[in-house]
Amino acid sequence: MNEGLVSANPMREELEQLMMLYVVGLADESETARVEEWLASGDPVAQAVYAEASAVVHSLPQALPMRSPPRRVRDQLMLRVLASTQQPIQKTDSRTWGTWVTWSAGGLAAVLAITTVGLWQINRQTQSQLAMEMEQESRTNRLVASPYVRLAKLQAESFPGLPMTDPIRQAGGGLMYCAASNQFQLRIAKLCPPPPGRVYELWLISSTGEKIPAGTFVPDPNGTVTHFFQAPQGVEFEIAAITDEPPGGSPTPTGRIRLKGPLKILDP
Amino acid sequence: MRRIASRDPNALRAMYDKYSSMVYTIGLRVLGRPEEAEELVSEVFWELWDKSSRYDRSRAAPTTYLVTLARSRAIDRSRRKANRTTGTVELVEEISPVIGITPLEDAELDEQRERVREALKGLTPNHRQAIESAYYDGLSHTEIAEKLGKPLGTIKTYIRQGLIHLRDALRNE
Repeated sequence: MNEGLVSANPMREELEQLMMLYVVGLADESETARVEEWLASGDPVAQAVYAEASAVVHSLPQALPMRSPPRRVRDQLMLRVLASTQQPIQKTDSRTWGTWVTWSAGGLAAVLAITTVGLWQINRQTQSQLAMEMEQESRTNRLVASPYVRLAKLQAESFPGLPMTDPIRQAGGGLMYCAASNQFQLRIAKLCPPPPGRVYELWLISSTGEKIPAGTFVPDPNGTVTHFFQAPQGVEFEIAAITDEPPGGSPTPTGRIRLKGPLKILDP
Repeated sequence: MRRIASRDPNALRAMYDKYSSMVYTIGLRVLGRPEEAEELVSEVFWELWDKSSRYDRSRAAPTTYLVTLARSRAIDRSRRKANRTTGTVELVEEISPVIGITPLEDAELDEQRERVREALKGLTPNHRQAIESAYYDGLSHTEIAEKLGKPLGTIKTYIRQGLIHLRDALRNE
């Protein structure tokens, strides 16, 4: 603790004691007003006394025998944190449609009618997309909240000759497995489109090296992938990998591994 | 905290690894039930991530801020559920090892804990019980007086003297 804070006069000592009562939540109304006035005065001593009082009072839990939360609390939190750092899906630019409406209002009734229908359809698509996103979010939350979750962090598979500028290096995401529902969720951000005439395919690789195809997908125009699927029964997976394959997928991997990560078995 | 404010998940992970046990232990002490303590850990670290701009480094060290947040949210939860269970039973159960920190950090934390335990040893049981009722249960002077069956003035004296003792003991380290 700071030796320089030892009080030299009764007034100061009283303020220091008041500060500790304030920090612990036991100062009455007039005491609270007095302390807050002192803190608001900009007096650096007030800030220092507050800092010391906080450190003293909030050191109390350190005397308790420490216990760690289960590992899954950490993994669920980090999954939520990582999901929050993903780029949001780009919204429709309303100014474009506003321009259309303005133009239509110029008297071109036929065009207005067509545009109106078009807007209605787009609105419906937007609503549909929004509903889909909300459903995906809801499913993710249910999955994250469930116990016995395993995670694989997917990163670009590095190999000799992969250019530093290859856009696959920017991609990253995760595969989450919930044993309770036997369901996987795949989430990837900044994934470049697959080569022309190809799709991405997810592989689950067992401890014996068996490669189980788990579904094909392509990223949306923003490079985002959110994909739910049921896990094959009776296989313990150790690694998740993504390759590019012909449309419809392949029974065995033929393309180069683009993203890969170990599926960590977490403590319940 | 600066790295957390700049949205660095690794910084939050490091903070979690170092201090989740502290938050969880506070949760167990205040709320009593492991599942509620787990929810508290998630809530506190999510708030640390999502509302990192609330931290003012001129007012408290990151550890103090985190403990303040954990205690405050735990008492909020306790009040919401009108559950005054202290969790003492939970704390005498098997102690889990603390995960995710280096031996050096572990040693530093151990040293800090030992200092606080030594400081608390200098309190009488009455002083200690009064302070812990205020700190972990969020009780007022009057509520503590009722709980401990002591006059209000006595409780005020216990708490004031106890806090002064703690401050002086930690200053003299």
